[in-house]
Amino acid sequence: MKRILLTLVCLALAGIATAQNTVPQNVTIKAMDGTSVQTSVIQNDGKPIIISFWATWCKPCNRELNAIKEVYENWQKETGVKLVAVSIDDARSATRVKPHADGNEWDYEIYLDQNQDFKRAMNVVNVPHTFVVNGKGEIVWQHTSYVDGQEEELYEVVKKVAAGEPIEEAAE
Amino acid sequence: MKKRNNRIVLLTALCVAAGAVSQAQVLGGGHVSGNVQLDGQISKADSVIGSTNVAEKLLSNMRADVLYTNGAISAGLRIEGYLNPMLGFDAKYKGVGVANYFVSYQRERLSITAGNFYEQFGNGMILRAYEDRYLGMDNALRGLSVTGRPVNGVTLKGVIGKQRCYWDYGRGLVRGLDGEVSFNSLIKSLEGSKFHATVGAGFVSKYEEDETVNAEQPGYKLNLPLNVGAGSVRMDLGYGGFSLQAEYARKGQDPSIMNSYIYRPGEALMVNATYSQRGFSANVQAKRVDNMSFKSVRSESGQMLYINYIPAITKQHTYAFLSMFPYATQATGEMGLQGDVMYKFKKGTALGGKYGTDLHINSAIITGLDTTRVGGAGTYGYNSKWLKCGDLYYGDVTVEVAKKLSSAVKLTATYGYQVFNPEVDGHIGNLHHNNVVVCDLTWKVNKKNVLRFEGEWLGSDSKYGEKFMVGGVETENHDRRCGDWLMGLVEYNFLSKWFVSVSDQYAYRDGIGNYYNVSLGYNYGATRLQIGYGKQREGLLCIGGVCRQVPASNGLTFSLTTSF
Amino acid sequence: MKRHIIFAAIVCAALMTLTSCDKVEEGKYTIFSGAAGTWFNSNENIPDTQRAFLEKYTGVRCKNCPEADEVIHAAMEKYGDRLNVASIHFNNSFGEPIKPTDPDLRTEKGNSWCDYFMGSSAALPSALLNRGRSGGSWDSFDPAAGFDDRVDAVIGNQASIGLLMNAGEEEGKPYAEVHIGFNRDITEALTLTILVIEDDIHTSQLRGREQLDDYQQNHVLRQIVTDEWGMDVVADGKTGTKRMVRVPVDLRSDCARGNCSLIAFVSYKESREIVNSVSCRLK
Repeated sequence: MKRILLTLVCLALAGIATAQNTVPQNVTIKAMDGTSVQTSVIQNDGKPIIISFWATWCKPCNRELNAIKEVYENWQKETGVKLVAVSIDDARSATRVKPHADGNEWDYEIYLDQNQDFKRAMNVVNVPHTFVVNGKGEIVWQHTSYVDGQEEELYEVVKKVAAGEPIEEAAE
Repeated sequence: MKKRNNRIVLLTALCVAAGAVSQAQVLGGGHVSGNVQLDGQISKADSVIGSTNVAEKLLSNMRADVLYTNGAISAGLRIEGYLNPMLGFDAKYKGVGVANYFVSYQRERLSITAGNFYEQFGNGMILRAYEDRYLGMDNALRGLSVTGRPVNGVTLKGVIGKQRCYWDYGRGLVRGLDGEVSFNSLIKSLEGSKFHATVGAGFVSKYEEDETVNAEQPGYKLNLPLNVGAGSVRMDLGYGGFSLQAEYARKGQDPSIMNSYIYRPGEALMVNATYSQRGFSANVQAKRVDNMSFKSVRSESGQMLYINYIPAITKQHTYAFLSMFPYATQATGEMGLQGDVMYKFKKGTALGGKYGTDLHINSAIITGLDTTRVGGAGTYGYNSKWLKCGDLYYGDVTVEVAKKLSSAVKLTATYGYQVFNPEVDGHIGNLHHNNVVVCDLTWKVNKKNVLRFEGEWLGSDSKYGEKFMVGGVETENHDRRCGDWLMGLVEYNFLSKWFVSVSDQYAYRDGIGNYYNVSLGYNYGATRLQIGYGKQREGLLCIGGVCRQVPASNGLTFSLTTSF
Repeated sequence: MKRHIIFAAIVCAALMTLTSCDKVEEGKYTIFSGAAGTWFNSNENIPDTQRAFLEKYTGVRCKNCPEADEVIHAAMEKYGDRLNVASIHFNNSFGEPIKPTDPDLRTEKGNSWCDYFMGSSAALPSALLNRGRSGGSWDSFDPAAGFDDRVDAVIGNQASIGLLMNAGEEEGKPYAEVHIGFNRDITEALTLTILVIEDDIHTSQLRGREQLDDYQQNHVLRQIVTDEWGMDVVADGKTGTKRMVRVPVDLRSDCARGNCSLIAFVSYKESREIVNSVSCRLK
């Protein structure tokens, strides 16, 4: 009985859902100065946004963000892209997020998602998990894990989004 | 009866959701997203590593989250299945069902969630409902959560619910309130200022029915407090690159199996000071925890039903040998100090070279409390001196240097020294002193092919099979992590989607075991598939200082995760 | 407006939640859960004070008894809690109420004591101190004469059994909790007797040749909670052994609870000689 019900629910939900997945607006995260903000602050004047979920203890995350750091200035100049790094560190290491970012000379917009509300809302299972969001706030591309050099693939997507071209690799 | 209740709640939740959807007249709107994870395991007996045959042959864990969002309304449910639970997961997880469901309304000034929710007050020292699927840990509250933001910069939260415990809910009722004021948002003139300040306070109360718990003295039972309260105050101050965070928590009398039913109140203090600027950061953390284990059911001794969370302040190591002896927080009592420094040698300097060099030094020391026993169950328990340390539990120093040798080759070299008290995680013996060296070399062959080599060495004064006298009885050390170890790993990432890795850990002296592993993986978009074959060491899997005992396994594992 | 409602709701919830923390007073961390009358090990600190138990046989029609009362009151003031006194109203005509409106202070179990220790031909006032024997018979004496020397002889020693008694209440019903500590090995069987005495009972009383209409009777034996010869002490009797028992006190309805006290004494089962005694107010 329960299982039939569940199936029906899932089908019903799938049926009414047609719109593109967007970034949720009202999830609470913390800015670097300790203030609680809503995810609606993640804006970039209609230009593309990269949202990267990471943690201080996650090696591939750090490799990815460090690799992007080297080219971030160029990316910004060419496409106007902004990288938002959302840390899922909990109380154990959350206080190390800012020193970690400063120590690595990251110029990203950084938020803390200690309660992992944003992580859940974005269906992130493992970090690193990177999203590309277009000017309308729609998630057009996502990827988990990182291998050295993959930032170039990411940038191809960003360039297309900035130019308004469709992305072949859909979000799914 | 319980199942029926669940179904009624679920139906109600769906009706509410449906009602909200139709009222908003956007029946065609909204969207569904979700994620799915499937893990499987086949394991065979191996007496050397201590694995046993699995009667079911195949063990699997699965989980699917489905989330529906439409404007301010969202609803979700999670299906979990453990057929049968994988090694290291509690057998109580056996089964399939809806583990979690909720309906939520979120606006700028008000958020309401009914159903299962996760929440954290401050650092979580008095309340943290969270989940970690790899730890098999989920203490979600099922009930109601309301968050109000009456003015900018002020957040008020109220929660009430019962905690998940495997497929059931603990009988303890958890109620909590929290308020936080962020002056930078509250006071207009402070916006964008170099100075920032946030203060907060919370209170959590647990109610649990009376029960008979026998006191040490026969014929007596404990006079249990039915309502146990815990409160905390916290602040976060900053000026430019400096910042200071502190939280102090106190808990009322809470006799439970975790503290052997003593009536001493609990307290915890955590202080963190940081300075950072571009290319340099320094950070010092101190904490003292005394009798702060806070669970919604007194008699629960496992890893479930924790209301609060006491973070570990040691660095979370990721290299295999550095994390071989991880430190698990002792919420019943510990003191700790941790320091962390990061420095970047600039490009073009003598030490920086062509690409710059990263230096990262971290050190931590954790001790027990200095306590004087007063009595056992049904007494105050013990007295402790505030600034006096007890036994050494753990200490480490790690120095990590990361350097790009050329545009294609990057080297990370790490040296670590650790002192580990085996009694903290239930083993025996003297303090272990370990030296660890890790070399991690990444070679970007070309745009789509990357090779990674990792070599690790661990030298320890601990010996597997060594004999000790414990309470006048000769006991042998059966901790299979002891001894001197070597490890090699080669990982090849190709076509930017595939990876294959081969590794081996070998106890070359005073130890036992040869743990080889081969794994193949595929990443595409938000999908990840990994298949591995080899031997897995028994040990502790720790995330955030919370640990799970994982038994040894020998065989095939696979894991599939995807988000949509 | 909505904002204020949210705020008010949260403040109300706050007030309710903030009171939700119970505190257990120190010393009450544990509560008794064993069966009444069952012996358990005790971990209380039991003093080894030796006390004397005086049972005074008296009666409202005993004209010399008020004189003895005066001597006893003086001794009680001198010895404080080291002297426990119970007045047993005699079962023959001495104890017969003078006026029909007076309460009858004789008790059935107390009558057994009268018969056993005094026989039917007793001359009152008469008393026993710790039920001692002299030359094979009960060492009874006239309490009207000074007896400080007798008391001193009893309480001068360290008690071979230490006693501690607390009175408490559970669900409205009073109980006595007695702790026994062995200071030396005792192999003989022991019994524990618990009784209720009441002060400030007003009756008619003969004194000398006059009949007093309103005489204050104190420490009157009203009830023996245990069997009149006590309940068995279950203990191995080794030095250092500490045992405890809890006995419910089903107080008779005509007693004024505020005026009542409990006395407990341990005696040899065989000889009925009292080893030690203790008293406390009935809460």
